[in-house]
Amino acid sequence: MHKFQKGNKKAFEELYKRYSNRIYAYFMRLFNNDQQRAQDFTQDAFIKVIDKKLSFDTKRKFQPWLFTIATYMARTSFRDEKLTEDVSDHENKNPYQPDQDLSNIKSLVRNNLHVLSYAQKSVFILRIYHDLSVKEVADIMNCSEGTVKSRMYHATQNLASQIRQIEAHGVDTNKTHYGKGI
Amino acid sequence: MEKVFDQNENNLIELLESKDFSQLSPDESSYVLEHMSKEDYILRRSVIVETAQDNDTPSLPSSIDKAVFAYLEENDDTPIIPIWQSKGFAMMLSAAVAAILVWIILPFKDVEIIKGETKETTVYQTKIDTVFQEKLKLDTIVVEKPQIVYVSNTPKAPQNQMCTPIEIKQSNPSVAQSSQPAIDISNIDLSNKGSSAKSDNNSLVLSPVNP
Repeated sequence: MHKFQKGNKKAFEELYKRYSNRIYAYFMRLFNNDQQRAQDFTQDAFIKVIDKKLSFDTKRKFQPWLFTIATYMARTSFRDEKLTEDVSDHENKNPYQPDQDLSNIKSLVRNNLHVLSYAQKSVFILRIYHDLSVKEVADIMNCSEGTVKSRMYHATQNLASQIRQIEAHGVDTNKTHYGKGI
Repeated sequence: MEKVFDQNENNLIELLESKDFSQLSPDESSYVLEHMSKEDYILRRSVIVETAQDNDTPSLPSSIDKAVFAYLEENDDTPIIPIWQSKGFAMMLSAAVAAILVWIILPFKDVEIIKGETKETTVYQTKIDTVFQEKLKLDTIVVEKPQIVYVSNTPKAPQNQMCTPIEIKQSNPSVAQSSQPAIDISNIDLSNKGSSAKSDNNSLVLSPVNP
């Protein structure tokens, strides 16, 4: 990033190669596998990196800074659409995905992240999928480490509850209404 | 505004992230069971563990790559740093200032200004001189020299034997040791000698001296 700040475009290309798919995956999970939206946000995130390169502190790591930009963009988007913190809205809007494998918790979690609030989802994705430390997540989310742990606790609680509910209802599409989208 | 979090939640999530239910100590398991069932713990633990192994990341379409790089080319707003703000210029300026200071200060450092008799005259005299310094360096040199010791071969008489001192009589040098003549001069033939020898009364000269 320091080289990119000096005007080295090759350095940016290297950063892009290294982090673009990670940011894309982050947005995909945040937006419940909405590809088009995730692509747009990924593109915008890297445009912000280009625009704000001089504001980056080279003493810090690049990845948390990039995730901070991405998280801020997503939070703004959720606020604009009044979708933040309202879990009940998602449950009724999102169609069920018939390809869910009930025996595979990995797949169940991936397809049911929408049951989490924005804050819980962001923390869970950063902590579990991207393997960031509690402190790094707290810095990105601009909150305390205790809050990160609390959100993680409720995220796992909600996901476990959702999985139990799916298992209880089986794969009957008429009884459950979960799926992708916001 | 951050939500108030429960310390129990923090403790439980730390256990959920780090240990299976079977790995919990008795105290930990009893603590966990106060807040959730064993099945709930196992399910939540598996949610964390199995999700962490989900490495399926989608690939970003190349159209996004092109759009980002096109934006980079169009908006290359890398600031042009003025030459007086660049590091190279600062270094050159520092070197020049240092050189000027050296040029100004150093020539006067070892020069004494002696004012002449008139006010207008100033004489510069350098104080630099050559100083010879002699150093006496002392050192110890060890020379090894073989020493010959002479040992007397004279056998020593046992102490219990008394030696008899030899009495030496002092002889009179003017008196002959013996009354007998050393050379028989009675038969000396003087016939072939000169008159001088013949006239000498050799017999008297060579005759033994009677004490």
